[in-house]
Amino acid sequence: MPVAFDDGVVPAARRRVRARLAFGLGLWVALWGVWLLLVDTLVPIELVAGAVAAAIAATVAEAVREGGYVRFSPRLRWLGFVPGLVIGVLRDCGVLTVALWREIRRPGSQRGLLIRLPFAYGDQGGRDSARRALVNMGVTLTPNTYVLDLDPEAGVMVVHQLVPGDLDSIVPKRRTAPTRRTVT
Amino acid sequence: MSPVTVVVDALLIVGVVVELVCCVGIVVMRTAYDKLHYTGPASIVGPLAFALAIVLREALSQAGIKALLVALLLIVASPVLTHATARAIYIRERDHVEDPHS
Amino acid sequence: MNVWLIAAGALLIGLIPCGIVIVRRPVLEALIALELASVLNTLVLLLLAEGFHRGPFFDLALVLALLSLAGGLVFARLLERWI
Repeated sequence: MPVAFDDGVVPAARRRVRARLAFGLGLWVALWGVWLLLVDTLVPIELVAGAVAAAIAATVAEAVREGGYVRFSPRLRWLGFVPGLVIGVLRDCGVLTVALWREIRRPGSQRGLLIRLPFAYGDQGGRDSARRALVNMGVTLTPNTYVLDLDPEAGVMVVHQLVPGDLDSIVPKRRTAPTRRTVT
Repeated sequence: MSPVTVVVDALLIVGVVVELVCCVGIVVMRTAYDKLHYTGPASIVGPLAFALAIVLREALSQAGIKALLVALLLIVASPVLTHATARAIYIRERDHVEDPHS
Repeated sequence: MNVWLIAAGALLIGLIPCGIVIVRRPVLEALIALELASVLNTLVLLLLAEGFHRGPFFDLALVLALLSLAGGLVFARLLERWI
């Protein structure tokens, strides 16, 4: 009598193994490439040394990822924020220069502000963790503003601005409720 | 003087000016919170200008690639360090360890 | 003497204001000045590498950039509560 096997679990496990292998191999190749870029030679001993070093690093990285110590799953479309970030960096360099000039001319005239902005903290999953990390990095990259804290309980992001500016550009409008500016 | 030399010199001047202005900012601004803003341009614009100058001079040789790597490392590290330092100031203020507005 | 070495020398002048803040201001402002000084030193090594055409100096700059990040993070973490 034929036995029906329920293999609904097996394909998922196979997919996980394949995904882990793909990540590990991709990382191994990328790290090996970085090694070869740094040593700038293709002699056999360097090829072997690079392959071994990259294998160790890729294995450790995959183990850390699998252990759940680092959850980071960004969306590719978030790269769309990069041009705005570049413009923001250049603009804020000008803002800081003017602020410095004003402070030199009138000492004590420039004081920054601590501001609390509503911010959806999300959960501890890869997507929200990546969102928090990249928002933090993007805001802090622009010199006029940096992030001090992301409070999960209060649902706020605490930032410091040297020269008060447009707060809606700090966090994209479509992801937040209308911002409220509070000076502490 | 070739156009490449002119551009390289201009990038070097931009890099040096940005770094020195940031050093002045560190001294002139009053509080720790305000001083911290001036590490940003020093870690982003300056390294990028110097790396581009080296790449223009050396093309994508080992020197050019390493210069770009150094610039990339400084640019990525800058917001991390800024946030960590800002958090340290914030926590010390909140726990009354030190007043950053002194 | 070339433009790279002149630029490196100009950057070294920037270490003076950083040193003043480190010596005279509270510890957190000193940390900020230390981080800026680390960036300056990394860039000085980069410029010296190009000025002297010495490949190993690029590796020095790369290592210093990495270690400055690690050191700055350690200081910031310890200064939150424990120092």
